[in-house]
Amino acid sequence: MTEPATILHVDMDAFYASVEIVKDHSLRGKPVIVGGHGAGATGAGGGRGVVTSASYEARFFGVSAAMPLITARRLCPHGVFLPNDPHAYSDYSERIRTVFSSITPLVEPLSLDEAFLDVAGAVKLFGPPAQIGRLIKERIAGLGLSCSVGIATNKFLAKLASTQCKPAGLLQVPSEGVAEWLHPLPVTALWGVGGRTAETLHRLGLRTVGDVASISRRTLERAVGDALGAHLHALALGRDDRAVVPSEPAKSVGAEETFEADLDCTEHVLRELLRLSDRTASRLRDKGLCGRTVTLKLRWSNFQTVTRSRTLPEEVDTAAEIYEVVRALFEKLVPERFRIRLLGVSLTTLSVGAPTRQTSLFGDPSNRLRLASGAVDELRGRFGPEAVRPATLLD
Amino acid sequence: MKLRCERDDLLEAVQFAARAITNRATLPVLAGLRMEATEDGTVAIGATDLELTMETQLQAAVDEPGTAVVPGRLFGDMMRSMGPGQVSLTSGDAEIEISSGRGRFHVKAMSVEDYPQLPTRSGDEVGIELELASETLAVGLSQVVRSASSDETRQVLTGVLWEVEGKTLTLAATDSYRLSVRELSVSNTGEGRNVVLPARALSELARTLQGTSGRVRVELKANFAVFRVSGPDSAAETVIASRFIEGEFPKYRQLLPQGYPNTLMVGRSDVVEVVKRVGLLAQNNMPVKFQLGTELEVSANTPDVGEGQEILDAEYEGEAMVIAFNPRFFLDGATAISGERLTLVASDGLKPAIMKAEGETGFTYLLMPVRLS
Repeated sequence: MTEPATILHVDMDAFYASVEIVKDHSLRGKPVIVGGHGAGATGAGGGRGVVTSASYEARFFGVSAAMPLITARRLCPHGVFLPNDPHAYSDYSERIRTVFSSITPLVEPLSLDEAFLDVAGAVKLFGPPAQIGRLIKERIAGLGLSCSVGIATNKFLAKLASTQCKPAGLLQVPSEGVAEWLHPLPVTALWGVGGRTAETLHRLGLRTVGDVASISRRTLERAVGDALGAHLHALALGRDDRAVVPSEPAKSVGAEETFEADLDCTEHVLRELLRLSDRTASRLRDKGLCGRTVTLKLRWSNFQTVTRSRTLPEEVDTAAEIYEVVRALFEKLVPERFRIRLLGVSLTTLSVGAPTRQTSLFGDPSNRLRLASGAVDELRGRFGPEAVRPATLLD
Repeated sequence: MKLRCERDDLLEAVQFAARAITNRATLPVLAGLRMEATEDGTVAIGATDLELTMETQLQAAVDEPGTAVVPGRLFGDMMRSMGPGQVSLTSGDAEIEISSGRGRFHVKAMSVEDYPQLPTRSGDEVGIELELASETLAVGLSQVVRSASSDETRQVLTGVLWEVEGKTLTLAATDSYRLSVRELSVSNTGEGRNVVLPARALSELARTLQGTSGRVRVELKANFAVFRVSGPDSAAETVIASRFIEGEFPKYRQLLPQGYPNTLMVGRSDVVEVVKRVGLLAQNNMPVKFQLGTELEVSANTPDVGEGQEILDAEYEGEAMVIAFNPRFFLDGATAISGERLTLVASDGLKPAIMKAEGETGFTYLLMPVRLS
């Protein structure tokens, strides 16, 4: 049982809020709350966006991620509310990944602000894992940000460790003393245990991870089902054999938006679909990709979510081509009266490069679109993303 | 109507005519086969869906001349299931009796009065009349019909243009990705005429003409064409008629480029084999790339599937260049032309390329490239 602890989980502390503070130093020490996409710097609407990130100063007032902004305002009326700035976050995310890949190629990003690293091969170069953890923290501090690092023999324990030592901590789970560290934790610490499963476990009198570890696997499987039972049994014993898999190229590119007020008119929906198609197309071309499967995602006001997709005979990468498909999907799907809370457009079945296209004897409309889109990209590159828009989207 | 004939002759005729019966017929009676027996011992069997009409004849012992309409599908199935030998048909008031060997069947007949007049039998308004060797037309059609479109949204492209000017008949078809043009010499009773005929009817015609040695007569009337094919043996005549497709066929001549700088010559069967092989790795609409030069490199690449390339010796005049095609369109062209060697003429990777057999002038296959990323 002396597996070396070489798996690191690095989790940024209050990532979006911290990036906002790096952008504007005067915010340091203030309760910063990021969320929504309201217009203007006065920030996120009072409407219905949710908090995506809150600085630790704001958390002190009870503000937490995923909380409706309106609640956050009530809890922390003097907070600095800022809209999401996805550009800045992905920019900083990129810089963080550069730090990770300076240590090891075995980096598995989970999202913009956290990743697993397997440093088994980096030990000779940079010293033991704890030292590597400190090195990472140092390099990230160089960006003006802070992170927490969990170190353990597997992904489950490493992630748990980083959660336990937040913010700005570093915790190495001792290979020898896993049980002592793990067993006092509540069952919700187990990856995959949410409200429902926690309730089931509580009914069986299982409150801590140690309780779960103490009963037989058979009993557990009977209580929560075979797959989950076996999985929890292994985790409770500190076992997790998932490898760190370096990130693969994007499988999907898209954009989605939750609306301040439900959309109930086709004209508005089509405008938003055009906006999202435009954003998706722009992102595709930005990444040098094109795709064949177009997906429309739609959430009704009752939170029921539906998706519809169509795979095209040829790849696309322009707003007009994507919009044509999502519009058709929408018109097929939508009842006479509706209330829509969220819309999303995405492309999958991606390939690298511009679409290959069978040319036609009688002129080639797709080629003109492609040239126009290239010009749009150039203008946006120089004058910002809002410089050129489809005319129907001008206010 | 009362007659006796050989089951094999009847089956052949029924199977031929029944090809004009479609599921989407607008009148119920169009699911029927029309049979007409005459005193001279010929039985004509025909069917139509009002677009396409197919009629043929067989010899029989006609005891009582007359006309009947039988349900086509059932009658065809019955003929197929019968053993060889004599079959006799007798039509009564509302049914037809079929006997063969020791079997006797009664099938409800359909109304002869309700059945529309077959255009193959209308004597009216002969426009112009052409004549040419069956085999010549069969080859020409097979070269051209493959380029017709299957996309019903542009009806006129699902047809083949028949352009008659004096003694020259030009057949042309395009699905907007490629264009086939074939010139044929014909004898012509009249002046010029341009009509568009559905690819479906012409495929049936080509199939009928295949392997026959006689001549075919083409009557272009006001809004339909009639093709009369005389069999090699006898007076028995097979007739196909088809309505024209309305609409103007694109002006294709201006699409044919004159004088291209780059010319490749390569063994035709070699390049067909290579493109078939390499084309297996051009899936999901990916093209096959041709690196033109004295070594022709053919390559394909489908992400997540694989890639391949193969080199062929060729003769080449011009600048080295790359051009990509849909492999199916390339093979359609390369197998439409005849001859040992294939000539490919190109300008650049975005302009149409032309495929011909070396030295042949009668047939041109124009092919649009796939734009590479």
